[in-house]
Amino acid sequence: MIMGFQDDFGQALRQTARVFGGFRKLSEIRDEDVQIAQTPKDEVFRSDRAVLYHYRPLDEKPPETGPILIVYSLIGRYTVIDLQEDRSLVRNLLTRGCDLYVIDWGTPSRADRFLTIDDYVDGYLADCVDHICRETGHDSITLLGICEGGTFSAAFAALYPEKVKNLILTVTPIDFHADGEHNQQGQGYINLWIRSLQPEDIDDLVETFGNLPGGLMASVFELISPIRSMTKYNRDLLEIIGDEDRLLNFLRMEKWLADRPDHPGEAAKQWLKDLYHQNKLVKNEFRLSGRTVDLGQITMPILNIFAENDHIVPAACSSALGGLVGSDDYTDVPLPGGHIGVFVSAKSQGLVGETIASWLRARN
Amino acid sequence: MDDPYRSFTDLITSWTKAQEQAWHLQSKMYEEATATFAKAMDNAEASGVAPDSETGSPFDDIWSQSQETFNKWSQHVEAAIPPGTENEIGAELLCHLMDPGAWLNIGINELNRTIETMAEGTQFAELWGAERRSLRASREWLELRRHSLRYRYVIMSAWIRAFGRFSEELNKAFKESGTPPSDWQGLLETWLDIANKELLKTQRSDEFLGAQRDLLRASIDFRTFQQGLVEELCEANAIPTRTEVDDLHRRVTELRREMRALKREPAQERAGKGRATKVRKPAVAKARDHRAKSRRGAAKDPVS
Repeated sequence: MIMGFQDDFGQALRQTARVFGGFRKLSEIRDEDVQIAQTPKDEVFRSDRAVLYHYRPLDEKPPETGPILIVYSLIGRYTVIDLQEDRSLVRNLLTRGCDLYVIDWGTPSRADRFLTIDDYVDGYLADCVDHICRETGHDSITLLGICEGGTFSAAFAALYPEKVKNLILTVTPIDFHADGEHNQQGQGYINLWIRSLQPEDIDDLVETFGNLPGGLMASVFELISPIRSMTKYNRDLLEIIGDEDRLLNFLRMEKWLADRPDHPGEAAKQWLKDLYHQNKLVKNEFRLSGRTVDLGQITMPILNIFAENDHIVPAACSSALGGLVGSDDYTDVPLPGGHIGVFVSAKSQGLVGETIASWLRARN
Repeated sequence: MDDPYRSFTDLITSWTKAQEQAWHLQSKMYEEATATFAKAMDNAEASGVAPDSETGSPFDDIWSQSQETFNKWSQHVEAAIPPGTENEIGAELLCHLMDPGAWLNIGINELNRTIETMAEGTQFAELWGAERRSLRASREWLELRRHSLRYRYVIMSAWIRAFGRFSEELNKAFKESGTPPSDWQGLLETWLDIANKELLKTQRSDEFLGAQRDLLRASIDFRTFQQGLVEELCEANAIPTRTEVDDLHRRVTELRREMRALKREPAQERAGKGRATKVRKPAVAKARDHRAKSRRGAAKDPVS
């Protein structure tokens, strides 16, 4: 009993010292200590808020691939793919000889409420692809789409197959009604939540607030793991506060999470009503710039990477692509992890990068 | 010679006794809580649903009951744990995370707060004080409050159910082992597991989704009403209104779109000449077969 008490007391003292030390450290951390998206890159093209960056190679070696354009979602910022040096899809691809570009959609304001998905796919994305082709002398490039950016990339590849050499999609929703299949606990909540709204609710929301508020979507994302949302600033933080590396990792992720831009209103209406409600993409009824997006027109090689434990885009919503495209060279790669974890978790580091690089090498 | 650890031994003994009593008390507390909850639900249904005021509503009843239950529980926890041990941290977290107020202030209620903040907009201390007061007397404001309370009522009902399951779990463990659980961090994990399951289930319920949708609609109505008043004020003072600015933005977007198309035309013409013989590959038949199969998802209609 006495020994037990001494052990407990000693443990408590050590724990207290660790926690106090951690809080002191936390108070000393400045915003500039928590940097994300630091891999060097240069702005090469700009159209309105959309900025095209070209990453510098990490060594002097010439790139081993043709140009690859990363297309991120409008929900959240592309910075998560380069969160920190040892958790970076960008660096993992650069070290494997990839020639990388990324579009930063910027932070839309109410002035952007009338932008549509047509503008993003057939306007900004098309302009970026044209710019890269012009600058590099290629007729076509590889698109690497992530989440909503993957849907944009697939739509672009269907409209302009001659401009897309390879199509790589990661955690991308294609069949927006496939969430009922093989759901794990909590998966598919976004699909359910959006379907609980009437089309008029979405119209009214956009009419009133101009855009789909980023804060609203952030709150809905929190509902996916409600207890994690309750515990992360107390129990979880207490667990890591004494470990500077883990604390900084936590803060970098928080910095990315806090940067949740509003989604341009008209594009949000298409995203929520045409796709989440009516599932027009898989019915070949989704129209952009007056043309039907026919997934059967996607004839180039396709690599489709999705996360088996994705709570935001259930795996079935992504894997549906295989049966819809016209390509004879289609590869499905289910990976362990969640929607964001597949890019930032310690376990997945190198896995996505190597999967993409080796797939590309085989097609060079 | 005095035993220097006697007070500690006494504390452990009294803690054990207190815990034994507490587990029995807890069953009673849960019975009381579920009875009050059932009564509150009956009242709500009898009155045609809605908790429609801040006080004296079914929400008020269920909130008081949750608070009372939680206070008894946390008093027991505070009395039972030896201070200065690692368990103390776990116990504090347990109390914090079991607090029904936590469900109303963080996590699950975040959406509620976000929606309300969106509806109310920025609050300038004394600016337009009189107007703000009159806004808060409007039908739209009262509707917003009513739906906010209903939403919270659904959350509190979930807390009561989670606490009930937690109590059952502890009593079962106590009956099987004959000793009260002494690992407070273990208790914390048990609570978090039960709470997570309950919340995930609740959030998928029609009741929750409906309450949330109604809250969103009420916030939109209130915001629209508020914007209407501001527009009138702007018009009266020759200040550009939101509608006018939106119209301007629409025109700029359309002009930019036209400009992009015009800039692209010469390039497309050049490319067209160069690729006069290039024909897009037709989609293979495989796609059509698989597409027909995939219609299973497409057949689903939005939840109405």
